[in-house]
Amino acid sequence: MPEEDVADTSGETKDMPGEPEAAEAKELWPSRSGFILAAMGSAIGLGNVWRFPYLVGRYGGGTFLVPFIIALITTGIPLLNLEMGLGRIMRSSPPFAFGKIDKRLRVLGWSMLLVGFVVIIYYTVIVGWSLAYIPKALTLSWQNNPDGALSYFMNDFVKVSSGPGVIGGISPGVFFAMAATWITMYLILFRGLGQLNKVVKVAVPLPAFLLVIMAIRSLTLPGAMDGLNYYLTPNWSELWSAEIWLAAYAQVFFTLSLAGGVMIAYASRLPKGADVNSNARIVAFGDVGFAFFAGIVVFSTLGFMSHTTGQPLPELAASGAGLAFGVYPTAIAQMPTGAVLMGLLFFTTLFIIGLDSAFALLEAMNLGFKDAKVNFKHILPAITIFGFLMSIFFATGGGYHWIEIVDAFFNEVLFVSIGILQCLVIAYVYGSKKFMDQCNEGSEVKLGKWWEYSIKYFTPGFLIIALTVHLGGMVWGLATGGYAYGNELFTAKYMLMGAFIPAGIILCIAYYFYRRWDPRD
Amino acid sequence: MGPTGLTASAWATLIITSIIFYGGFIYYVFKALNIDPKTLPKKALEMAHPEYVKKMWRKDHKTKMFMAGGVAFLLLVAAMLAGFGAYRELEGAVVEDVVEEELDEYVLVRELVMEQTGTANPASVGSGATSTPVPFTIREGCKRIIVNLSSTNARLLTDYDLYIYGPDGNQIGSSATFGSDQSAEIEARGNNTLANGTYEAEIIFFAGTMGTSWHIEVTAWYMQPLEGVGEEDVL
Repeated sequence: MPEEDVADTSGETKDMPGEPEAAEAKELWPSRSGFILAAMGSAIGLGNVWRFPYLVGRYGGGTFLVPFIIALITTGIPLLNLEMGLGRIMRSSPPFAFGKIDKRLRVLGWSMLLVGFVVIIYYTVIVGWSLAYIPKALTLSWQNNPDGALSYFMNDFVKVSSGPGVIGGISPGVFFAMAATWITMYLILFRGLGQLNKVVKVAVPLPAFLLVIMAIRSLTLPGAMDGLNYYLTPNWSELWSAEIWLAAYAQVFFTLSLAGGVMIAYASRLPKGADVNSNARIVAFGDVGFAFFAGIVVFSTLGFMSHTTGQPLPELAASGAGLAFGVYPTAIAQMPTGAVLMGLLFFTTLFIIGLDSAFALLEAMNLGFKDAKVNFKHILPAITIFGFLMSIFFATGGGYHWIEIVDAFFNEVLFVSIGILQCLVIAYVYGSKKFMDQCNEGSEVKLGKWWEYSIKYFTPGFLIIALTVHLGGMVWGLATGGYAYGNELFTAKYMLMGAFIPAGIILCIAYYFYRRWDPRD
Repeated sequence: MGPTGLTASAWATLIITSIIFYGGFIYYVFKALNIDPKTLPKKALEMAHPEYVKKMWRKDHKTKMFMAGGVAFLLLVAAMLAGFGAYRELEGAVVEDVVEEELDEYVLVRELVMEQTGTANPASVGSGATSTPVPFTIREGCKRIIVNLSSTNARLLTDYDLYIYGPDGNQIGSSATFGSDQSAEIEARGNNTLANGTYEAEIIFFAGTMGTSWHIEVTAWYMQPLEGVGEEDVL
């Protein structure tokens, strides 16, 4: 490890020129590898296992990889570089990183963190499902339901209600698993970056190691190659549809955990002159490499299931909870040997990668409050308890529907909007050339003109198109009776309650935080 | 198919994607460790056999050529596999044509079995994706069925899926790609024919704006003796 990249944890950080506040002591990352692994842990989430393989299969196998790789290079890496660069240059979490450009932009920074915090509130419930399924894998409990694993998950475990209007009861299994997830996140974070640095060195490589073991088992199953052929064989006619490109760019945006404030917050604790350009590329390629490998494991298992049951592969290749808690457990239960081990490995992997992403969002919020110099010692316990209490709503039977409503809006509208704004701020308010020069200081890999073009034109342009399509589709759908997506029908009332009102509240709170906490006070 | 059961084009996808994703990852990790990946083979050899290296790696351009040659070789293998896959697919298509021509005593006559239009509207909130069953009847002697689903007013994100069930209720075909246009084809192998009876096409409205209309069309090809068949109907 290069000497200059290892931070002095007891050192002081120097603020930007023109910043009125005095130099302050901030805890820095003890090692560069700790930062990279933490950022990779944040990027590698549940979507890497249950969404990326699904998209590859759905959009003509290997064909999807063409727009995905182009999207990764033209938008994903430049935007990730922007976020890491912003954190390192400004040496502050999102509100104050943007605040150093223009103090009013602190509203944007707080909005990022608050949107990310809402995501943790329901994401911990999903991570809790994975945790609860680890002991269930010992007895393959989902076999107890005669209607199949998905019915077990929906009716026996989560106890999903008939619709978002029916809240229903709280499933004890979901509740305790969700509570355990919050406690685990707190225990990981409460001692600061030093402890986080140690945790990520185990928690991030471990899922990759578990995937390798799963791959060895999956690839030796009968029918595995049929699954891989479906996953990897290109269908070039799909390449010319607008949808595949839209889906590829959206997936790159989501898979790298962009616009949630995590990368800015993590990079704010890098030493001055740290190489953010190489770091961004390592994180990006590590993330997509994990997703691609997860697809090999998932599709070889689905190929086995198709071989055993005769069900066609396109029907099995479901996305989201349907894959993780319905199709995949069914496939595991049918394995001639090693079913329990595969179940344990699969749900442990899901739990760890979900946990890594969740505590990253919580730590970003925590660092935001620390930078705000909030006059309250117990910030982390306070936001943990508040988040836990809010999560209880999503642990109910009706909460399942609300997760889908809130997730669709927050991912496809709010994160994308924030992504557009941060590109525009850096490109046209701060100055892309100045930003690029500062990123290049101390970096092995230099940003060039292509990065500037991407941030100024290409990335915001594409994100505006994506936002218009999604928001336009939603608004048009709501105006004409409802917007259907998968198993949910989003009516105007529920979209208002689950999406537009929370977004408005977030904006109000962000404005309050902006007025309330000024580091110069 | 290769010895492992993977098609050549799947191998090509696997190799090319692995080079980009994992190659990119390793390249930048080396950069972060201050190791120039271009001179890595030289460094590794220097550590192992200094004398040998002095002899073999005097000029930098040899290292570059070695790296470039390695990448070119991998790309060549990938391209050959892709080409082989394309050739096999083409070969498969030719074989199918020959089978049809072998039906010397019969001809295939196309017949529109059913045509229907409908609108996608879930019954209630939380009722799940709309599922519309559309039954159709197939007579004896059917060789092939093609079910086409389309939408006249679909927007960009509209997504329909199509599943076909035989008279015994088992699923025999599907088309579940992204988009509103789906097409499923069911064909009997060799000189066999498909079972007669009531089939069912299930239309799943997976995503999109409410009130989107769909149009389904089922076409069947029946085997008929050569005599007495109108020329315009013969395949």
